[in-house]
Amino acid sequence: METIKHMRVARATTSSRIAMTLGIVVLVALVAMPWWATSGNIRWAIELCCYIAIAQMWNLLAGYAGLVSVGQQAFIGVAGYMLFVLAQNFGVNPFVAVFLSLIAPAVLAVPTYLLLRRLDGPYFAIGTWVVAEAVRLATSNIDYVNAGAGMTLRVMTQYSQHEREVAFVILCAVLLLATIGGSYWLLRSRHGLALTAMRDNPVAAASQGVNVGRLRFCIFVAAAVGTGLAGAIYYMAQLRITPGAGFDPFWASMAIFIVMVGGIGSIEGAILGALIYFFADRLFGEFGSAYLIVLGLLTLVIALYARGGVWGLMQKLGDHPWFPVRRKLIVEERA
Amino acid sequence: MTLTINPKDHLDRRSLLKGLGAVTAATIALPHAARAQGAKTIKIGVISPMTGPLSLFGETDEYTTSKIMELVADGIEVNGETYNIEILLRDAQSNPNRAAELAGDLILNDEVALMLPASATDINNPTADQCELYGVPCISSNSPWQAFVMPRGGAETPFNWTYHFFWGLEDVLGTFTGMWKSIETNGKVGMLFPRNADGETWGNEEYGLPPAVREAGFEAFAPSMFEPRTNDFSAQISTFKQNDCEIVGGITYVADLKTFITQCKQQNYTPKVVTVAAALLFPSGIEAMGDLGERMSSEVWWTPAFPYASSLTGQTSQEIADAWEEDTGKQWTQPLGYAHALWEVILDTLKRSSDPLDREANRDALAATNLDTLVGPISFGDGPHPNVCKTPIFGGQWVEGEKWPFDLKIVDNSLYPDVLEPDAQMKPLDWS
Repeated sequence: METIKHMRVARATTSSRIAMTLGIVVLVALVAMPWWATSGNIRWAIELCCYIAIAQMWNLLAGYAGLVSVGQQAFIGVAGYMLFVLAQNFGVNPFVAVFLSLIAPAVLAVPTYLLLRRLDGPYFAIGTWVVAEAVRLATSNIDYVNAGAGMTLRVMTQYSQHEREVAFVILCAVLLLATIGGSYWLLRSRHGLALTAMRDNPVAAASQGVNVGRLRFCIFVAAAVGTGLAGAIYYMAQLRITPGAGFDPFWASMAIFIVMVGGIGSIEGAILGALIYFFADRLFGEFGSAYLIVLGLLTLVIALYARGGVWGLMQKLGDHPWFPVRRKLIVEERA
Repeated sequence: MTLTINPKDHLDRRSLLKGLGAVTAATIALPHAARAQGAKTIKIGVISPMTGPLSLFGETDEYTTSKIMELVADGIEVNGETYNIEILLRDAQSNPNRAAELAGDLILNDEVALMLPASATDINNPTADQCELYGVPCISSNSPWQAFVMPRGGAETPFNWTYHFFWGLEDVLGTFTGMWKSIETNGKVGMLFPRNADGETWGNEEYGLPPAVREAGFEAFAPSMFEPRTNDFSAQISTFKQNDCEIVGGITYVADLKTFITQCKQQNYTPKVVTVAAALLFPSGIEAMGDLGERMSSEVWWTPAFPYASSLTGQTSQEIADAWEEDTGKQWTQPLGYAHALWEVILDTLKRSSDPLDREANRDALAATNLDTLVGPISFGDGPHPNVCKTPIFGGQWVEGEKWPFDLKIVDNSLYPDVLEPDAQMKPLDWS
């Protein structure tokens, strides 16, 4: 009797189908927030979305492209400033200006990468920090943006609170789609294979024909734009930007914390980490410095004993990816 | 101090969960019996830098807030009805991002009726911007009114919801030049400004210190601004030396002034007068200077010598300062008077409000304030800007103290001669 072997490639899993459905529900719920949630909850959602996006972009850089950056605040700050300049000084509709302001991080990312691309590992990290500090210093010397005194987004008062909230939740949905959805799409694509290979060993990947340099460049610029979008939305909600706030190195520490605790090199990890950070911040932020020390110790423990982070621990309980990027060959035997 | 989560020392799961509930609704816990049963509650949000570089300001906020809590434990009476007061004190960690987040949270989630961003531009401005957008009355202090108005774009259009009382740069200039005129110098002033919100405002060539100093008959030399926490002042010092500046004036923070003075001494630059704002506000700042700190001068906006009394408790300035020294074991600081005065204005506003739970009614009452407080009379409308009221300021010099290492003596009253008399005559610095 002859056995017919039928082969197919499985990409979705039960857990991913559930996660995808839940993801769509969450996005719809997010966009519908002005009609069911309080203004305070919407504000929390905006901040949470920004944290998720910033962390996700850092995860893409550090977790996949092997580019550990501690200078992502440069892109948060320039996008925020660009938004304020366009909306406040040029009278552009602020919700349109959010997207126009993405030009700034993109334009900054190109020379930054070209300058730093030859640096490796920790040298690259320090290089990005230097760039971020240089941009901060430059900004605090430009009188056009009020130098060190910072700017206020007074134009927001011309919209009613409802209008602002509707626009904000739509922007947040776009932000999540672009950062999480974009990362997922990228990782499932042909480039995703190359990225995964690069994450595991860049030299081996290059020997297999992956153009490591070009891919890193594209990821660096994409991550800068994604981080910039989060920064523009964050400062539109905060209404006020100063060089010290916009280019605060704390942004980098936050992204590192979220990704390390959540689980580096996985989309799920960044989301989990952002949720942990966000709620820890709301619940224990009152304790001031003591709480920051606890966060630091937590990162340390995870770095030493559970390098896969919370997501890594969850994976040990069972392989239930939310965003599977693996391909599984299934061979079915039929009589 | 905002939290009384859990009386037990150890945490079991249930009490932790209970604790979490308490933290999310973190308020200053009041004994329940003390509250008027069934009465409505007025919520007041306080955002203060209790930790971080501005924590010296936050120290007095925290202390004063707890004193006020005791005072209003039984609620306050407005239009014949008793209301409970709930104060939600939050720590902004001296971070403007955090101040904006907390302000949004207090406004939208806790629905406060009034906002009090306590202390310093980095906390006041982000909070006030949120209040302006969401329509919450907000009263602040402890930063020159220009720093409150100009960076927020209030020069052309006044604000609808945010009010501020303090002195302005023109006043600090008056006291600075007043002090400098009382001492014999060559009239050349070296200017020292940091590159941050305060430095930009103070050093502004249109409305800041340099043009005003020139107008007062001094020669002003303003080298490039220094980066906060720098460890190199040689560019500034060499400009001052070249131009033979016998006076140094400006604004710095403690760490920067300490570095600057040490380097002056190393480079043999010995000005006769050093008058800076901010760094010399606190006794701890002057103590950090060591012996070099003696005879440095600064602006003074509140001392125990102020002749005003509290409209809440009737205490004089001296009594407020004594109570602080007794309770904390530390020397009085200038923000103590303002921390108290802010609460005088807030409680007075609520008492006059047609509906203390309504933000608009509170705003109208706040705008109509006319009150004699611990730091002077407060009323809006006559000031340099519709949202600003100016309060008295004097020139002071730190001298060797009796009870504490250094005492702040008032040496100039040229702007408000009717309020009080100087304690002493200004003396030049002794570099030996």
